Amino acid sequence: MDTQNYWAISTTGERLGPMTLEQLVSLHPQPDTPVWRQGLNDWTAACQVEELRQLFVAAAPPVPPVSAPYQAPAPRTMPYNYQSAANPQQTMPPTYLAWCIVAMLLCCIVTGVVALVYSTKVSGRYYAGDYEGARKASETTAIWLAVTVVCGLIAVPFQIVLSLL
Amino acid sequence: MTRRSALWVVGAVVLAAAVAVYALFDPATAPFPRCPFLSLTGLQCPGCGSQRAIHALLHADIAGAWRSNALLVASLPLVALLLVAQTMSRRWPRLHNALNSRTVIWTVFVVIIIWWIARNIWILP
Repeated sequence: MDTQNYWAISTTGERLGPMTLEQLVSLHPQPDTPVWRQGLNDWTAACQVEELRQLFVAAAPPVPPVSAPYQAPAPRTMPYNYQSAANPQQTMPPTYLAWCIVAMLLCCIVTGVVALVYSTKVSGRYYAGDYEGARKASETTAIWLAVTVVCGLIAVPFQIVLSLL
Repeated sequence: MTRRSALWVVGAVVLAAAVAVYALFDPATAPFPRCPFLSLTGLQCPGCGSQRAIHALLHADIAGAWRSNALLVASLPLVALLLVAQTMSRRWPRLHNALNSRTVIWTVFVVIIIWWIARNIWILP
């Protein structure tokens, strides 16, 4: 297990790693520091990672020091929702939701709905760790938005004729 | 001038022109585009009344805008919030990700479809 690589997320949100277990321990992770290694499904609070758990049991003094930020025993459940910290280097690609709403109301509802459906795929893929898929869904949304705007513009002359009838 | 800033200038000019046209003229009158869905079916689409709503909003007539297209008026705060969240996505990633979640987008989808049906059943604005 010594040769295994570890990654952690610092308090400032930076991703650290790859590093060895020793290096990780030397960084003094907090019980809730998100950690990842092979075999973990997702970022896991350090206190939940088997080989790191001892660290916090041993480190927790019987009488906690005054106003220690993590004086409580290591929480059993993860204190935060780590989804948004799933990968701090990768921000979620835009869903263009605002433009989808505007395009559906002002341009063309049919192609606008297609754009909206693609935009729903962005966050799902992003949280599943499929960053490439999320980026592609975001791009497809943008393309359908452009199609919607063009449809709206092409329709204008015909709509003007309709208004004159 | 870079291509990007040229696009911004073109966009600003087009927007200013559109604002001027929709503020000065009543879109309920002739040369303004008419909804083909409404003309063909006699039913209102979710966007029907948007031009009149924008005209009313440019005259600070929120009640009139609401009567023309309530969903457009109701969606404006959300659209504004989404644009803010998009520009600040690096600083507030949680806000951005929460607002752009699948749940929110599907909710928007359902609301628009309900609006489409409801405004034709109850002859809503």
